[in-house]
Amino acid sequence: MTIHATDKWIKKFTDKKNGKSRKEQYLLHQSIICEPLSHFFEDIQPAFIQEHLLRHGLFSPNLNKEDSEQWMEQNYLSKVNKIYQNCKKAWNGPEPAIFVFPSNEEIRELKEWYNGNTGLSYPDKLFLFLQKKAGNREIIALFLHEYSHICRLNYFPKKEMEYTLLDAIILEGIAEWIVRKKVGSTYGNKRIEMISDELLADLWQTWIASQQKMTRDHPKHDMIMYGFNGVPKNVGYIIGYNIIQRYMTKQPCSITTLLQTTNQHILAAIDTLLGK
Amino acid sequence: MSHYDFCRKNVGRPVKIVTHDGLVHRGIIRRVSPSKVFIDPFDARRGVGGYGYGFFGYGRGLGLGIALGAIATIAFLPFFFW
Repeated sequence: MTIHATDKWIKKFTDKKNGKSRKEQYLLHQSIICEPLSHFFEDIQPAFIQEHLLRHGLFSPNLNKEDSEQWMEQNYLSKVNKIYQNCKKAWNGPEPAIFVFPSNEEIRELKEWYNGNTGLSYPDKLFLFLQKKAGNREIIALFLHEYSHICRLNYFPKKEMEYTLLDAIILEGIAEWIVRKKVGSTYGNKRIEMISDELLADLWQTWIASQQKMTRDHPKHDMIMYGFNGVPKNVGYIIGYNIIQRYMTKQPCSITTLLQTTNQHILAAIDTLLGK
Repeated sequence: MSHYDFCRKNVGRPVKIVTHDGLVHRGIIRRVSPSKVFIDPFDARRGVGGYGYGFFGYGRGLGLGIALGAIATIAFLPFFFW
């Protein structure tokens, strides 16, 4: 059983937070939710884990009891477990530690563009942040996205900080392609869409071509992936999805094969990238 | 322009700050108080990493606080020249 009983942590947090100041609630969130997670991160203090997860969509210390109870009623842990067992079998995938939490429904960007559901994955652990009314297909879409990362990261093991921008582009592209293929074209990140060959070649040249080998600890890495002042939103994801979409049209293969295909093999098949 | 005004006008932009003791800090300006500027140092996320579906910027901002009085120079970091 690799799904952790996060429902108990959440209950403990909402039971204890009443009557506490904002600052105390923040610290309570840190000690009840993030401290147990620190065993899964090497040498990182709970405060940094908390900050990092909050930025990626974890529920904030403002979560109230009513919302958390509604969230619990959805039985997300057992739903996720079923999806996980199926995926693991179908892709012969690894057994990461899985943590399911409510998402932060106060964040507009998260609500508008991700329908309130998001996640974060590492080679050995996976986080899902779900809104209190997440539909089954939405959970499947999110899980497939994150779990595909874990499979690919395990097929191509490196130290986490040695993964490059190109690795991230292909990783995200594969994840979004699988979501659309298995769950439907309306699922996944709503900003990711098909673009013309010319635009793809142009974005590739502008943002990726000369920086493919930039490792993920470089500050520009995440800015290109997620977007930033002057960098279009989710540009790394859009480029990745478009590359995989073209690759799979040209050389169709199974998902398990795709997950194990090298970046270079994929790129070699896409001649439009170079504007040919 | 005072360091305070400069920082206020440029929240969200990447900067390089050199303090009088010679230390160099690079990061994104998150907020400014009358006595300090708080930056998100570029190496802060190192180690926590992971592949996220989205990045939402929510948080308390455990930034690095630098006293405005300690700043010797402050300059923008253009995206392509880091």
